Amino acid sequence: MMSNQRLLAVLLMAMLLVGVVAGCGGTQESAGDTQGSSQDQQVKDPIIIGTIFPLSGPLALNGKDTFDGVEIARQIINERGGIEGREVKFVSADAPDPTAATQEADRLIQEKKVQIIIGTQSSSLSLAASAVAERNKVFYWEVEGIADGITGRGFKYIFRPTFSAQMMATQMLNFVEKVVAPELGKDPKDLKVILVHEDSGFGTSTAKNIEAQVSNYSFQLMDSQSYSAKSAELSSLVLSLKAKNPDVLLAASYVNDAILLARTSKELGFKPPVTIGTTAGHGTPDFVKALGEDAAGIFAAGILSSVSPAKMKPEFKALFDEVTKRYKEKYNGKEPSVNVYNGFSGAWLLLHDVLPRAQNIDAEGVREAALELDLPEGSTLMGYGVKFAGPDQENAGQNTSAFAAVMQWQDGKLVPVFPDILAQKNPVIQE
Amino acid sequence: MKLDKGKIINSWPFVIAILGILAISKIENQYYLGMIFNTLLWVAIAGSWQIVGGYAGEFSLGHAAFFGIGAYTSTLLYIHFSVSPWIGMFIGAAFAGIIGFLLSWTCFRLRGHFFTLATLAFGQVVLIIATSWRSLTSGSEGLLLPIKMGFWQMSFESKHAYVYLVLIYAISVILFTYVMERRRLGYYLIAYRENDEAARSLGVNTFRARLTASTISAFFTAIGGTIYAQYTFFIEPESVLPVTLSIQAPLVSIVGGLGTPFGPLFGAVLILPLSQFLRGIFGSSFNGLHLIIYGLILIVVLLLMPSGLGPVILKGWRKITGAQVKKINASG
Amino acid sequence: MDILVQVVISGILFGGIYALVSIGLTLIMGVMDIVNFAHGEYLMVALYTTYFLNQLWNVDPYVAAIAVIPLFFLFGLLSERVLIRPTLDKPAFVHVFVTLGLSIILQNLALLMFSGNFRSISVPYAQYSYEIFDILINYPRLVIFIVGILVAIGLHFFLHYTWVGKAIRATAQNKNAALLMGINVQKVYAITFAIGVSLVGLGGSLLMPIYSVYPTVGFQFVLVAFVAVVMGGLGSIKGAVIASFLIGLVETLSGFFIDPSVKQALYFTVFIMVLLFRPYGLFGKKTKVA
Repeated sequence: MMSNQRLLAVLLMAMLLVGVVAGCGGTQESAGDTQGSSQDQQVKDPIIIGTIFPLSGPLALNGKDTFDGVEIARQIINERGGIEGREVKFVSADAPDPTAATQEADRLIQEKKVQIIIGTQSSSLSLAASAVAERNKVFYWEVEGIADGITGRGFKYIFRPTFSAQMMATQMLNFVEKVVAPELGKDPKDLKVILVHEDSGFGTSTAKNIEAQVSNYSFQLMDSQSYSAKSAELSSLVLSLKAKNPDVLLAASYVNDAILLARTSKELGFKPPVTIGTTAGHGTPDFVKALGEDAAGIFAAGILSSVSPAKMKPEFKALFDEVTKRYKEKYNGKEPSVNVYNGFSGAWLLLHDVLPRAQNIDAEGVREAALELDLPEGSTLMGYGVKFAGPDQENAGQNTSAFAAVMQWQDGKLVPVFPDILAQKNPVIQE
Repeated sequence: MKLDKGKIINSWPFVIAILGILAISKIENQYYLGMIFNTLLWVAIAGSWQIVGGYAGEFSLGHAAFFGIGAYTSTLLYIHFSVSPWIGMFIGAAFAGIIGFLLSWTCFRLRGHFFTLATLAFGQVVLIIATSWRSLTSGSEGLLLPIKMGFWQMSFESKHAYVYLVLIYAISVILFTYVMERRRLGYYLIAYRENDEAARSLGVNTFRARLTASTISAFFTAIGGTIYAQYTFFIEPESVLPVTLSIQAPLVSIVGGLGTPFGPLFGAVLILPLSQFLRGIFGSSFNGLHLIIYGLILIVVLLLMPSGLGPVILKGWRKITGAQVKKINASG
Repeated sequence: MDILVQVVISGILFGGIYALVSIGLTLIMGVMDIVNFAHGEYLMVALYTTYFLNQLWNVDPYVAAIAVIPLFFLFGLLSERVLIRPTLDKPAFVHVFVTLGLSIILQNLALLMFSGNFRSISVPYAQYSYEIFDILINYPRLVIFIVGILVAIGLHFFLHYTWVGKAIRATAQNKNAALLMGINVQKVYAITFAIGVSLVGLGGSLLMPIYSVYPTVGFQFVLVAFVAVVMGGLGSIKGAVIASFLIGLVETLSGFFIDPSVKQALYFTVFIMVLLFRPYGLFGKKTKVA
C-alpha cells in the first residue's frame, strides 16, 4: 500500500508526462491542418502566422489589448475573403517575460513552423523574441514596442510599422516648441521644462531620447528626474517639482504612477500650466476614470486615439468604428484603449497591404514586399505613411514615415490636437 | 580522504549523464534544446544556492544579486574592453564571491529570519543600483551583446554548444556538492546545521566554514549569470536580478530535496518543464491559471513532502529495484 | 523652509500607511515566529473587496473598513487553520514557501478574475487637503495616520490588560512555559494570525481612496512592512510604528533632497545597518536564544 507521499509523487510525475504528451501532441495537430486541406480545390491552404504577446503576468493589461486589435484585423480580413482566398490563422503564444518570449518564439518557429510572427507590445519581450526570429530568418512584425534597439541592430527580418521612442520624443518636443510656447505667450528660450520618468525600459528610453534631442530646440530641459514605477508614494517628487515651478511637465509614466503623480499633485497643490504625458500612462482609460475632471487639459503623446473623417480616408474611419464596435461587444461595452487600435493598424497594414504583394508568403517574400512599400501620409489607421529603412541602414526595418500623435483630455475624451493631419480640435492651454 | 573511483564510475548518475549527452546530440528541435538549456541552468543555480542554503542552513533570498553581478561584470568587460567572456566569467564570479563573503561576514550573526530578510533587502538594493546607475548599466534599457560567433567569444550558432556548456556547469556544481559533502567542509556545515553549539564546543570554526560556503555559492551562481548573458545576447535588471529568481533558486532545491547533491536536479527537471507546459496549455486562454496551479503544487509538496520529491523518488526507485532483486534471488 | 516642513509632514503621514500594514505583521512574526510572505496579498484582497463594495453598492470605503475587520478576522482564522498550522512543526523554510505559494495563488487569482487593470475609486474627499499655516495635510492620509495611532494604542491595551492579550504575550515570551501554564497555544496562534490579517485588511480599506488596486500591489507594501517590523523589533508594536514613521520620513526626505529613484535603496540600506548594530531591532528584546 502506497504512502501519501509516494502517491503524490506518482501523481506529479503523471502530470508531467501528460504535459509532455500534450506538448508533443500539439505539434502533430497543426501539421495535419496544413496537409489536409490541399485535397479540396475550393478551400486553399490557410496562412499560418504566429503571434507573441504578454497575455498573462504584469504586462498583460496592454498586451491583451494589442492582441485583441491584431485579432480583429485578422477576422475582418478573413470576412473579406482572406488573402487571395486563403484564410489567415493565428498560432498564438503567451510571453509574460523575456525568457518566455525567447522560448515561445522558438516553439512557434521550430514546432509550428511559422514564417511570420506578429508581436509583442512590450519592448523587452520584443528584443528577446525578435532576436530569435532573426537568427532563424523568420519575418518579425513589431506592432507596438517602441524601444530604439528593436530596429537598431541592423537586423534584416525585423520590421516595425509604428514609431520608435526616438520619434515619439521628437513629437513631444515639436509640440512644446510649436504649440505650447506660443499658446503660453512665452519665448521658447524662457520656457521652464522638466522631465520626469519611471525607471523601467519604457521611461528610460523615452527620457534618453528627449534628453538627447532637446538641444535641437530653442528651449532647455531644467531637470530630468527618474522614479520607480512601483513607488507607493511620490510626495517627495511632487514637492521638489513644486519648488522648481516649471511651465511644462513632460512625463514618461505608466498608468499607476501617472495616476499617483496626478493625485499627489492635486493633494499638494502642484499644478503646472502644461503636462504632457504619454499614451502608456496619462492617455489611458484607467487614468481618466481615476482622475475624472482633474484629467482635463492633460496632454498625452503616442498612439492615435481616434480617427477624424474630415482629414483621413473614409475607409479608415469605418474601420476605426468597426474595431470599436467589436471590442465593446466582446467586453461588455468597455472602451478600447489606444493599444487596440495600434495593434489593429499594424496587423491591418501587414495583412491588407504587405501580404497580398508578396510573391510567396514566406519570410523572404514578405520581407521583399515590405521593403517595396512606399505609401504617403494617411495610408494607415494611425495616420502616417509607410517607408521602411533598407537592410543596409542603421535603423533597418523601421518605418521612417511613422510619427506619434499628441492628444488632450477634453470633456472626458482623448482628442487628437497635433500634428495637423490628425488634429480634430485645438489644444486648450491656459496661462 | 580518498574517493573510491570504482564506486563512482559504477554508480548511476554517471550512466545517466553519459546517456544524457548522447541524447542531446541527437535532438535537433531548437525548442526542446532551449528547454533543456533552461532546466540545466536551473539545476546549477539551485545547486549553487544550496551550498549555503541547504548545507549551511543560511536561507538566502537574495541570490539573484550574484547571478546579476556575474552577468553584468562579464558583459560590461566584453562590450567595453573586448575581454573574452570566458575570462570575464571568472572575474565576475570572483567579484561575486567577494561580495558574498562581505555580505555573509556582516550578516551571518543575524538569526534565521533576520538573515533571510537582510538578503532579500540586499537583492533589492542591487536591483535598484543596476536600474539607477544608467551610465554604467544603461539602466532598464539593458545591454545588447555583440552578435559575433566564435569559441573565444562564448557565442555559438547552434544551441548544442550552449547545452553542453551549461551541462558542464551543472555537473561541476553537483560534483562539487557531492565531494564537499564527504569532506571536511561538508562535515563542518552539517555539524553547524544540526547543532551549532555542540560543533563549536568540539573546536569546529563554524563561522569560517559558513563563510567559505557562502563565497563558493556566490561564485558558482555568478557563472550562471555569464552563461545566461551569452545565450540570450541581452541583459537587463528585470531578467537577471528580479526577486522571482531569488525565490526560484531555493524553491527548486526544496522541491527536489534540500541538502542532497541531486536535489536540485530533481527539482529543476520537475518544475521547469512543468511550468513551461502549463503555460503552453493554459497561458493564452486563462491568464494566470498556470501560476495558480504552480502555487498549489508548491503548497501541496511542501505540506506533504517537506523533504522534497527527490528522496521520495529515490526511495521508491530503490524499493522497486530492491524488490526485483529479491524476487530473482528467491526463485534462483 | 516651508517646503521642508511640508516634506517632513508628508513623510510622517505616509509612514502611517506602513504602520497600519506592519502592526499586524509584527504581531504575527513576534508571537508565531513565522514570516508571512502573503501579508501583502491580504492587503490586495482587502483593497479589491473595498473597491467592489464601492463600485457595486456604493459603499463608502470608511464604512467598508468596518465590515472588513470581522470579515478578515475570519479569513485569517481560515488561513491559519488550513495553511499555517501544518507548517509550524516543520523546518522554517516550509512556512516561508507555503506563504509564498499562497501569495502566488492570490495574485494570479486576482489577475484571472479581475484582469491586470489598475482600478481606483473616486470619492469626493480623496484629494481634499486641509490647509494649516500653508501646510497641506491630505484628509485620507490623516485618517490613516490617526487610525494607525489609535490601533497601536488599542492593541497595546488589549495585550496588556485583557486576558487574551496577556495569553498572547506569554506565548510570545515562552511557548513551552505558556503551555505548562494551561494556555491553549493553538488558539492563541489562531487568534493572533486572525488579528494580524484583520489589521492589514483595515489598512487596505483605508488605503483605497488614495491608491489603486491591481494584482501585484501587495509586494511593495509588504517589503517595507518587513523592513519596519524587523527594524522596530519583532513583536514590538511601538517599534513597528516608530520604524514605519522613520521609513516614511527617510523616503520623503531622500526623495526630495537626493533622488526619488534611490530612496528605496536608501531605506533598505538603513535597514541592513540597523540589523548590524542592533540585530534585534530598535526595540526588540532577546526573547529567543540564537
